[in-house]
Order: sequence, then C-alpha cells, then structure tokens
Amino acid sequence: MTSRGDLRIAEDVRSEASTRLHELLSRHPASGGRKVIVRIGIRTVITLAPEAEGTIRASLDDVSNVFRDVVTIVEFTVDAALGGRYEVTCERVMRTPAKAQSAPHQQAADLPRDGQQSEPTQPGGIDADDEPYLLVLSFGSLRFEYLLESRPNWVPLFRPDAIGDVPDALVIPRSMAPVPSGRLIEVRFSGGVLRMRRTQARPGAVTVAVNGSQLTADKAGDRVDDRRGTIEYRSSPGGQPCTLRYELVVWQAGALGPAGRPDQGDGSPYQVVLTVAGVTGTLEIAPPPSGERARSRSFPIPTSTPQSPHRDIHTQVLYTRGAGRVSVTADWHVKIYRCATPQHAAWLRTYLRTQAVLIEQINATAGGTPQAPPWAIAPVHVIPPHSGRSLPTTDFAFGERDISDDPENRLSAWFGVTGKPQPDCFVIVVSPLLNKVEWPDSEHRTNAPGGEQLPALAALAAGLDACHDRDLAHCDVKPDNVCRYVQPDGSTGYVLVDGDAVTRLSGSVSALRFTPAYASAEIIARARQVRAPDRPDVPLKALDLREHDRFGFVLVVLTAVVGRDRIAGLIAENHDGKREIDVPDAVERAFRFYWSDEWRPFVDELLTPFEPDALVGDNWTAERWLKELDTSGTPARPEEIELAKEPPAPGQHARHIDEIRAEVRESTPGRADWLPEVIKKIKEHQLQVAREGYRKVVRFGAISLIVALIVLVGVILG
Amino acid sequence: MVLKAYRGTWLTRLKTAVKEEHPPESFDSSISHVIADWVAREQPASRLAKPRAEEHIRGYLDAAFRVGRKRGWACYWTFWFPLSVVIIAIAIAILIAKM
Repeated sequence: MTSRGDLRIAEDVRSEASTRLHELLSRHPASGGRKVIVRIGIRTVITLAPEAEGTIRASLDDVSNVFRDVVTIVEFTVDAALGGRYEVTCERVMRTPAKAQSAPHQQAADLPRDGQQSEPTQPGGIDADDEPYLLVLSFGSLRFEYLLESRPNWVPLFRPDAIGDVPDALVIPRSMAPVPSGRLIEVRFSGGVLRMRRTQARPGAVTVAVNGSQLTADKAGDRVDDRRGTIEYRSSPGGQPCTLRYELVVWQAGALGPAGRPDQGDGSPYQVVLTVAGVTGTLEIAPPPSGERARSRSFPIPTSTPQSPHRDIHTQVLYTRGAGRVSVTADWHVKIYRCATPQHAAWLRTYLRTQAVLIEQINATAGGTPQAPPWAIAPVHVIPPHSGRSLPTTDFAFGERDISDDPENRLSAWFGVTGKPQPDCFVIVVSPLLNKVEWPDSEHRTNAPGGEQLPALAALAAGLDACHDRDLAHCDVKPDNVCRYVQPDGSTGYVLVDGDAVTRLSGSVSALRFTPAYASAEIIARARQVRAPDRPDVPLKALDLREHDRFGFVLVVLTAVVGRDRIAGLIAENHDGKREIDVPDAVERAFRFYWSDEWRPFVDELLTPFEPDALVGDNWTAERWLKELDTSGTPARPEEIELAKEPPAPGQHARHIDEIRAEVRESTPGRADWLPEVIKKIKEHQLQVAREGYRKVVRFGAISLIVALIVLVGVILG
Repeated sequence: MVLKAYRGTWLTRLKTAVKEEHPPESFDSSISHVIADWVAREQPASRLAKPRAEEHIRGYLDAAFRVGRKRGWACYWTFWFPLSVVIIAIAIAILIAKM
C-alpha cells in the first residue's frame, strides 16, 4: 500500500521534473529538423510505486508533446543516502541529424544507460505522411468508426478482456458483448492494402472468418481485397456466430457526423474515476441540462510533420456538472468532447493533458495548487479513458438495444448519437466548480473606480506574466473567459476559465485562435497581414502575442474597475465598423468623465496601456501595472479617513446597522469569520428592534390606561 | 401579575415570532461579498458596498420591527384596551350612581 508520504514525494517529483523539462525545452527547442534528446534522472530515497512512475512518465510526455522533435529518457534510481527526499536532473544529451528521425528508439538505445530503467518516449501527434482511411464496423444499425493510418506494423482489433489503456489498437467497446473478448485478430493497413490475421489467442474456442474465409495465424496475414464485407466470430465450431460488417472509406478531415436530439434517458449520471494530486474518487456526471445542444469546436493538434505542424481536430462539446468528493472539491464543471474516432479522442486527450500540465505550472507561479487557489487559470483534469468501467463478458444474445442502453453509452445518448456507441470517442475534462458572481456594472462605479478589485486580480496578472516567461500565450484573455467568483472567505477572486487556446509564442499563425472583439487594432491588422493568401505560414513572432494577451488583460481590469457595460460600449463597433477602444483620445475622454478629479492619477495610470506600443516588449508586465494602479488608486490609510468621516447609516434602524458593523469588526479580526458574525449580530439586533416596536405600541396602551385611571380617580373624588 | 404576563407571555412569544424573520445561516453569493466589503470599511469598496449592504440588513430589521409592532397591538387589544374599558365603565357606573 502506498503511504501518504510516498504519494507526496511522487507528486513533488512529478511537478519538479515536468517544470525542469519544460524550462529546458523552452530554452533549447528543436530546430532545423534535428531532434532534441533529454535525459531526466530521478533519484529518490524510497522506491516509487509503478503507478507513480507511470504518472511521472505521462506528465513528462505531456510536456514533451508540446514541443516538436523531442525524445525523453527517464531514469529512476533509488539512493537511500541522498541528502534530500529526491533529486531531479534534466539535461540535453545530444542532437542527431534529421535523417535519423524515423528511429528515435534506436537513437535512445545507443545511449549509455547507467540507471535502473531507461525508456525513451516518442513525441505524440498525427503522422500525416499518408492518406488515412476510415474503417467502419457495423452491427445492425450500430456503427463503430476507426481511423486507419498507413503503417507497416500490425494493430490489434479487439474487445478488451481487461481494464486498461491500450495504445495503438482498434478497440471495440466493452458493451459490444456479442464480439468475443480478447486479442483475436490483428489488422495492417499499408500502401492502400488491408491485411488481417488471427492471433494465437484461444485458437480452439473462437474462429474468425473474413468474407467467408477463415483467418489463419500466418505471419504475413490474409489480404482483404474487398472494400466492404463481413467479419464473422464463431464460438467454437458449430457455436453461435456474431457478424460484423466492415467498410473501408476514404477519411475526410473534419468529417464528424452531426449531433442529434439529446436523450437524457432516466437522468442517471455517468460515472468516472478521477484522481487529483494522488486522491482518487468517483465522479458522477449529471446529464446536460434539457435544451442544451452540443456546440462545435476545433483544436490545433501538433503533428510530427514539419510541413503541416498543426492539424485541426473537429469536436462537439457539451457542458454539464459533476458531483463527487475528490480532494477538497465536491462540485465540478464538466466539459464532454465528442470526436470522430477513438484515435482523434486520444490525440485530443493528450493535447488537453498537456494544457492541464501547463496550467498547473502557471498556477504554481501564482501560489496555487491543483486543489486550492490562487489560480491564474482554473485547473483542469482530464479523465483517463476506460475510467469507471467494469470487466466485459461475452454474450451472443446481446442485441442492438442492449448495447445502446448500456451505462457506458450514456454519453452517446446525451449527444444524440445512440447509433454510434463508442465511449472511447469521448473526452471528459473537469474543473472545480466556482461560485460565480456577475461582473459589476457602472452603477456600482459612479463615485469611484472599483480599485478594491485590484488585489483580487493579482494572481491573474502573475499567471499571465508567468505564461509569457514560459514562452506561452493564452490567446483568448477576455472578460467572458474570466470567472469572477466568491472565495470561501467572502472576497472576490478572478480566474481564467478557458485554456483551450493556449499556444506557444513561437508557434505558427495557423495555431492562433482569438476573439477579434477583444483584440487590439494592431493585432487584428497584423494577423490579417500575415494570414494573407500570398504569405506562407509565418512564425507567430511576427505577432507579439504577449501584446494580444496583455490587451485582453487590460480589458479585464477595466471591466472590473470601470464597469462591464461601459467597456462593452467601448469595444462595440459603431456603424462605420470602428471601435472607441482603438482611439486613445476617446478612451481618455470617457474615463475622465466617469469620476471626479480626485481620481485623476488613477485614470492616468489606467490610460497608460493605450499609449502607442505600450504593451509590446519585455518592459511591460501585468503585475507591475496592477501594482502601480493600486498605488495611484488607493489614498494613504483609507480606513482611518473613512472611519473619521463616515456619516452614520441614514434611514430607520441606522443606530442598529452601525452597531452591527462596529460589533462585528470588534469581535472578529478575520474577514473569513465576518459573514457568520454579521448573521449572529443581525439576529440579536432583530430582537432589540422587535422589542422597540413592541414597546412603542405598549406605551400607547399604557397611556390609554392612565387616562382611564385619571378619569376614574376624578369621578371618585368628585 | 401584569409585569409577569408582560415578560413571561408576550416577550417570549415575541422572541419566537422574530425567529421566523431571522436571516439564513449563510448569505446568498450575490450579497456575501458586498456585506464583507461593507464590514471591511475600506475605500472605495466599502463606500460602494454600503448602500446595498445596509439596505439588505435593514430589510431584516424592518421585518423584525413589524413583528414587534404586531405583537404590541395584540397585547394592546387583549390586555390594555379591555382594562381601560373596564376602568372607564367603572367610572361611568360611579358617576351614574352619584347622580
């Protein structure tokens, strides 16, 4: 059993190794078609569990996949005499010529090995050399689609009989119970020729025939000439058959079938297993809200082909919520992506896992962890495939309805594609659910700018600067992508919630995604220029993406301190297609009009980013600008001035309201405890106020009684 | 006896009635940060939060005040008013007897 201390060491090692690898690759990226080989040495005082080593390797793969032409060699060593708990070294070993690219494993094998383990890993991505095909398997009206790339190696086509990730295989879903489980056949698609062969598994128990001819275990395999036909599984001679129809069609990039009418079934959740920082729990994903339809979205996935560095993966996305106590968070925001084939889903999963690691590193610079803020970007966790599923059993009696009704195919129903029950085509990404509040409008900013929001924006600023220091750009910083939320202590926090557009500063223009409404005029103009049809795909360095991010950040800050409606007005296009935000004089006039002269220094600082080229280069940082704004926007010792000047609360019960505030401040020093204390004090003062109201009426009654008594005494005395 | 009835009956009932007007155990997310800013007394957050927070709190106090007044009137109509009427009636009876 792995102890909590071991888990902590493994997590620390993973974080340290990923950060070091990223820093090294940022400093020394591959160039000129040459590969970079990096050796990562991990020495620990204890033996790490195999799962922990797997997690560390996966995390390093995620980092190396961001860069092109990288081979990593990971070596784990146990050293009880180590000074600390662990030691991580990361060094570039050698560069090899481009002609050796096809055999990175061989290159790694030639290197000296002095550790316990040495295992090179190949960078992920699509091999875009040959035209791919789509292998469509049909069972009745159900369709299962796989991308078939031209490759010399044999790939198993099977229904798994054990839980686990199976790389480089065509996996039939576990719910397809009529197909006998186990690695029974393998396929090879090379040079436009499809071949199949029977493996040595369960030779007497199951026979497989393609187009009527029984498959043999011949090493070369049987050539399948027909583009469509049948694959028949039969359980022992004379047993029950299961027939799949197959069809080989040319793959059309971006061909993702349309989503249909969502079917929420009986409202049952979809269960997955989530692990956050070593803590594992079950997450129940609720069906999407009724009326929610899948939206289209595409991702630029890096490929291993220099001529086409990016290829778009088209997906459909649904948003919903999840519940499950994992780590400190119990409520989750869930994004479900549907891809065309399991292969596309695997690439997207790797891409998103890479983004998740980068986000984790950026948050670490702001002082956040995967479990707790402050965060610059909301942390994301990618659910591993086959998560939360039980072992499959073969059942020839299973029909189409049984298969589409299986709990693992709820996602297909939610997307309205019950005819394609392939859970491996879905990628699930979760983030902690934040207690979102609306952005303030100008009605709350009439007397003064909302300078009190500036400290809450500090983590965002630090994260953005860290992003740029690591050669990354967020590319879609805008108020809509920043969640304003209430932290447990009642204060406001700001966090970027959409890291899908994160890209390298040194990437190519084809990878750039941005929202023009929140981009500066310079960026829009330059993007048009470099994307002109007669221009090749030039590096993004032609565009300073830091300027683009910074402009978005400035708009976020302005929205927080000036008011959402005012900024929306400034970025809206008028009838000429022009925006006020692009005219510095117009912005200055507007800001000077909002508040009195006492805020002039603050307004001056607010306007500095609108000066020509103010946001370009290394001199401007979001953190520094925010600090300067904070200094110019907050008078010295404001609370004392405020306490001395502040008039009592006007209106009824003013005394009680003032007393509540004073008593709360007196009895509770920390902001986190103020809210419960306010509630307690309100309750106490409610009773006092009620008694006052009661006594007022009772005094009137007493007067009437006294009058009656005076009358009585008067009558008695004569 | 009067004082006992006043304290033991009416004020105890008043306390129970006011409980129904108490705020919830936690504030709604839309107001919690406003209340916290208001308590903070920091410029300019507090100045902006002040009207909203005080209006919110005043709502609870107003509700309690209405409950107190209602209970006061109940006390008046069931206790003070009949007593006053009885005393006036005695005075009128004495007056008639003297005449």
